[in-house]
Amino acid sequence: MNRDNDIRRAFRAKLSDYPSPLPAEGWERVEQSMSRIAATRRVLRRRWYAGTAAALLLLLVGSLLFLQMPLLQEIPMLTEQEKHPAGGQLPSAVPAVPDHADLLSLPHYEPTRAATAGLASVRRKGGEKNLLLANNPAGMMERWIRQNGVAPDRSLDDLLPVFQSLIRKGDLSRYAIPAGHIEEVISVSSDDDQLFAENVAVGAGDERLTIGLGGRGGLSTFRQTVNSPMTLRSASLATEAQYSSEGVKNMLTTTRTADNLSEMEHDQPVSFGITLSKSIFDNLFIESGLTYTYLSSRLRNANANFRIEETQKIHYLGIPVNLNYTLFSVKRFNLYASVGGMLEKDLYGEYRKLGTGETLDFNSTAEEEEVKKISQRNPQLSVNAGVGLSYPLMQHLRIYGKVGGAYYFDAGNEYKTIYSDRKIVMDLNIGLRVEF
Amino acid sequence: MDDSQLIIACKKQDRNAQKVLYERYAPVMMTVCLRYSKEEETARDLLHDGFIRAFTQIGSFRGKGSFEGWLRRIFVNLALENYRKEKQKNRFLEEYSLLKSADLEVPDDDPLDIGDIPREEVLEMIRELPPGYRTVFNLFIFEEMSHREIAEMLGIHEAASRSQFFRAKSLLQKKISAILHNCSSRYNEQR
Repeated sequence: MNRDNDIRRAFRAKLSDYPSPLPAEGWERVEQSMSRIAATRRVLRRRWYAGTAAALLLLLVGSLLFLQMPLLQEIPMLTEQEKHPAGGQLPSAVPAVPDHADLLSLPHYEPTRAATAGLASVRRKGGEKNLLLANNPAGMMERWIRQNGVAPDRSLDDLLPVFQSLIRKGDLSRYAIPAGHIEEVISVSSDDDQLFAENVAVGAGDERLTIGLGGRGGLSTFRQTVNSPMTLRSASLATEAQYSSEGVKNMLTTTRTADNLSEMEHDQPVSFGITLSKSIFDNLFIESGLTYTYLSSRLRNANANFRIEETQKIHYLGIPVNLNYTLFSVKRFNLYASVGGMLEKDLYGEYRKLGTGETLDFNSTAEEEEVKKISQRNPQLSVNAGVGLSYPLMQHLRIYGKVGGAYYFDAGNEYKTIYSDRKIVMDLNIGLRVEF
Repeated sequence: MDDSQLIIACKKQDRNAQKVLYERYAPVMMTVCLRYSKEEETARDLLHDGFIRAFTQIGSFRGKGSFEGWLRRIFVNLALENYRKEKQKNRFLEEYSLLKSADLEVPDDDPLDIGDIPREEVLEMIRELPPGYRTVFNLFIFEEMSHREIAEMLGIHEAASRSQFFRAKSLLQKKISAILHNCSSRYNEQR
């Protein structure tokens, strides 16, 4: 060993400060590369700003649309239109209404998908003409008439429960219903003994529940390199206090030397979760559930004579609460925006430290290994936002993907994680949603 | 302008400060790059990439230690990355096999006396070592790492690190003997 130290001294004395001739145009190459990197960063920064602005704009527009969208659409009853002097003719978009006798006499009445509204007439005893507006008029009326029959002298009061039952069974959805008219449901009032069109807002209780199974991966890591010793524990604790053994303390004296290098790295968080979402208003869903997250970090303090490595693994369980708003649909894709928050608490954590190195005289080696369970004192709160797409794979199964970011508030915990050091973590969510 | 002022300016991506810093440290860092590379072109690329990395990551330098140490670490890490890449391509297998039988001579007790050998020749001797020997020798001698650390860093067994260092010493001793022999022959001829 001593002979090796002599070799070290001899070679270092010879070459440690030996300047070699520089390549021609060495600085020019570096300068060009730096300019290219700066330009690329500018472009990326602009794209990031543009993407963020677009997402915010989408959220804003979606919110405005949502706020301005009336929960009850006022559609004038066609009976009223008929009373207009010029309304003797029905709107051209509405197909002509056959008389009920003609309707019943049609052996094969096939509702057309193109029909946006239909009219059927029922002549009451008094001869007054009443019109029915429906979203899937022909199909529903055909079925209703087949089941119950309609005769001029038949009392509608008797048929009211049947008709309501027909509607509640969801027959409405079996036929082509134009987008935007889903909230229109036919009902029959027993008070005025008439069939008429009535707009009924669909109550929240009528909406479907959705169970989501998804995974989330962080899109960013955290890496820090410094010359002074670091630790994965909070900066509030003195580094020296954390390495207790004499051997490591001896090694630590070398950490104050000039060539110390400390590298800390937090991996991307990985999450899996199950969520339940429920519609609270039209196109607006509230979502909650349970999310498991795995965080891992590494740290290395090293110089020529020693190395201390720390690894840390923490398993979190969180409760997310998100609001998802469907902005619009293109073909079968739904674009939605999401905002929310999550409260997480660690379930299990492991901290491992391995210190090895030579002492200052190079004649002995100090070593320390420490493995212990750790726990973060405070829960971790975060807020998040994102934009996502969903696509139906099957009738009740949709795949979704969401890109977003989360801001993690400082929880003041002892062990550093990507939450405490990076604060804003971009992530990608992918999963499946099953509708019931 | 001292280093700390230059570093502050470099953190703001001041091109002039970067140039001054380059001119101040590039010659010594070029020696580091040459020590790890047989081909000069590879050393030039390492020098270029090292300064790019240094300038882009200079924000992580907190100024608590030596800037030169921080900078040298970047170049050594780059050289090691390059070594691992080359190793993955199995480029060194042939060299190892050629040297397997020839390099097992035990160096004598002379601790590689290079006192009279010019610096550029010492550098050249190191560069002519096979890549694995050269890397282990550099890490052990100049970075003052233990064989255990070298083994971890290069993903080899500790015994392999010792063995490669031993062989590197053996090869260097042969070169040193040859150089000294030539010098003494020339000296005798001149007399």
